[in-house]
Amino acid sequence: MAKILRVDMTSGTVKYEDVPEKYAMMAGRWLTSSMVADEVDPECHPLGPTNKLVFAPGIVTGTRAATSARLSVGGKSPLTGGIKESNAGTKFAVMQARLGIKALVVEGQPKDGKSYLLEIKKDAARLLPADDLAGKGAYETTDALVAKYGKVGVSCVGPAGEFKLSGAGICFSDEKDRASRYAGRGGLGAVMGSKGLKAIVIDDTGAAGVPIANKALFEQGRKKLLAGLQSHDLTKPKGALNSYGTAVLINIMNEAGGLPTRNFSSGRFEGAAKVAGETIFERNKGLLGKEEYNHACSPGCVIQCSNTVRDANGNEIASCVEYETAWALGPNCGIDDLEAIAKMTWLCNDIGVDTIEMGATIGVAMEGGALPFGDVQGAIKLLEEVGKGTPIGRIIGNGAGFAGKAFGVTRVPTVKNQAMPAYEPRAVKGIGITYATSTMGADHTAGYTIAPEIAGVSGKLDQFDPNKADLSYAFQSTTAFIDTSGHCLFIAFAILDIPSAYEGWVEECAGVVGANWTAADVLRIGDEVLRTERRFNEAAGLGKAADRLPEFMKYEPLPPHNVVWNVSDEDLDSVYGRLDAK
Amino acid sequence: MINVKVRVYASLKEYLPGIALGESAEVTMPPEATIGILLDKLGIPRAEVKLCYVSGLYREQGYVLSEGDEVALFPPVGGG
Repeated sequence: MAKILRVDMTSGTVKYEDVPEKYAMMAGRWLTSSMVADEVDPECHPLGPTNKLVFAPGIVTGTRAATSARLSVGGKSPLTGGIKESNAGTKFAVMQARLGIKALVVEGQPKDGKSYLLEIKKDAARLLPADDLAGKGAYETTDALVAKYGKVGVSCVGPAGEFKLSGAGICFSDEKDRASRYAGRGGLGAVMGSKGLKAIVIDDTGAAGVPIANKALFEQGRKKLLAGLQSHDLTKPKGALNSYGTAVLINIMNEAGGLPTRNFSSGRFEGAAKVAGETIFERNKGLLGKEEYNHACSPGCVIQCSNTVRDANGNEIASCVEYETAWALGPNCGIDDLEAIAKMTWLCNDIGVDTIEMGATIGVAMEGGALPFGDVQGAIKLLEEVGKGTPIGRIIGNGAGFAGKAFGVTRVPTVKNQAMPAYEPRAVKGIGITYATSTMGADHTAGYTIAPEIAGVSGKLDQFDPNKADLSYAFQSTTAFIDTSGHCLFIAFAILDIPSAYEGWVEECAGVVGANWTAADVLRIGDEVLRTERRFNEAAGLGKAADRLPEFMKYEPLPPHNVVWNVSDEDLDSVYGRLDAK
Repeated sequence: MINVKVRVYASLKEYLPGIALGESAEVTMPPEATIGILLDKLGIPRAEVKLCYVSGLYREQGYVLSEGDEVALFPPVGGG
């Protein structure tokens, strides 16, 4: 029987609750956003005692469904001031699902200001003092807990979370117990830190597993989606993602003139190829003497896109260096040194900060004259300062918007105060509409229109065509259900291109919950999620006026295509106007 | 005749051995040659090429090349 595990950090107590009927079908983002909307005052201080953190695995997480080990984390974001759902692929998600914990809710704040460890086992959870872990990096924290507990899933915050910095993420362990999988965006690590919760260990020994209401329907759907993932060019074994990782996008974004460079001052970087996925692959081949294909971040993933960047001796510097990370700490800072980018990735993971936010913030600091573009050692030093909690470190750790004010910079690439990821919206209009209107702030994963605009998935669209409000809305709504299903966003390529894979995705979800869902239900539920989030944001003060790109993009032409942001405010408002009209 | 520069990425790299990633090969083509004809000349199967950019703009394989064009060729790529 599924339960909600509620952890009160004020009293130091935990309790299991029955799942209210209204949440019975929900999971993942649908559940986190609904519970946050129901239980958190939109006007609360995100770092105060009345904000809450909700951890929820997806509908099919913990089953045999492929590539479905995602965990959604929700709360009010200290970065955006709005609702936040940030998700990660991790065994923690599978363990939580198998233990029947539909949602883990962390609320309150300890009166003693100390650090705590939450230990979760079958039908038992407790808070323990974690003085020994306080202030430690995420790698050391995770290593210590794995050494003590053995085969467990670990979540923790690094020093940035303990300092309550808005760029802090929540860390989860990967398949080799690296502290490397992050619910990174939106500062939820600061919320966890504000609650004195340093870490969580979860052990699913003896767990009953995930009940499946209609096993035949689930199996039918699972097989269809699996076949789609294993045949699509992007997700099949030795396909683009398995070979080159997500950083395979560096070169095409660069050729398309949409790779944000030197704090969004150009769409093309002369050193792009040096930090690209192909370079990582070829480099590893030279170092290892054989081809190395990528590995899975979490159990049951058949795409396996996580790469490894090594030093000249073949020793791992960091895994994984994603496209967004390689871009943020590379081209966006004028840096083309792959090993340095990997070193900074490791530092971000250890300190517990979002790599996108940090790369964007260092870019803004470079723009503001704090250090020159391309200054590798200066960038590394800034990250180290974040980990130490020095005044300059706190400026950087609070994100691009905060640093922009500190350094008097107007070219600040944020929406709702969250830094833009690795696609220039002036050069790729649909993703700009997603950045502007997403309930999450600038977030490519909220409605990944890059799939048709650049990659040609589900047909190739003109990247410069500004009339994409419909497209962004459809992607945002469908994505809300992907984030609910527990699948990685990368199933999108297969379900967009292969009709039977889409059917299978819906059928496996319907099979788990015992529903009779169709494609119409995907959009219905997606709309419900977006509407819930939108209402929360409006109550928090984030209405239409917050659905805008930064002004400089309207008057600064972006090389090489010399394009400005030309999507009208009316078109932006129409994205959520569609929801209101339904 | 016209001269164009060609860059190949990801799994297409094997068709231009000796050219570093991000570097261009110089190719001389007859006037009015299309991207498809360029692919044939380079021995790159047309079916393996999903995305073509010419001087930063997306083009289909039937696009007619001009002197000085910079052509970038990709197999299916994606991620994020």
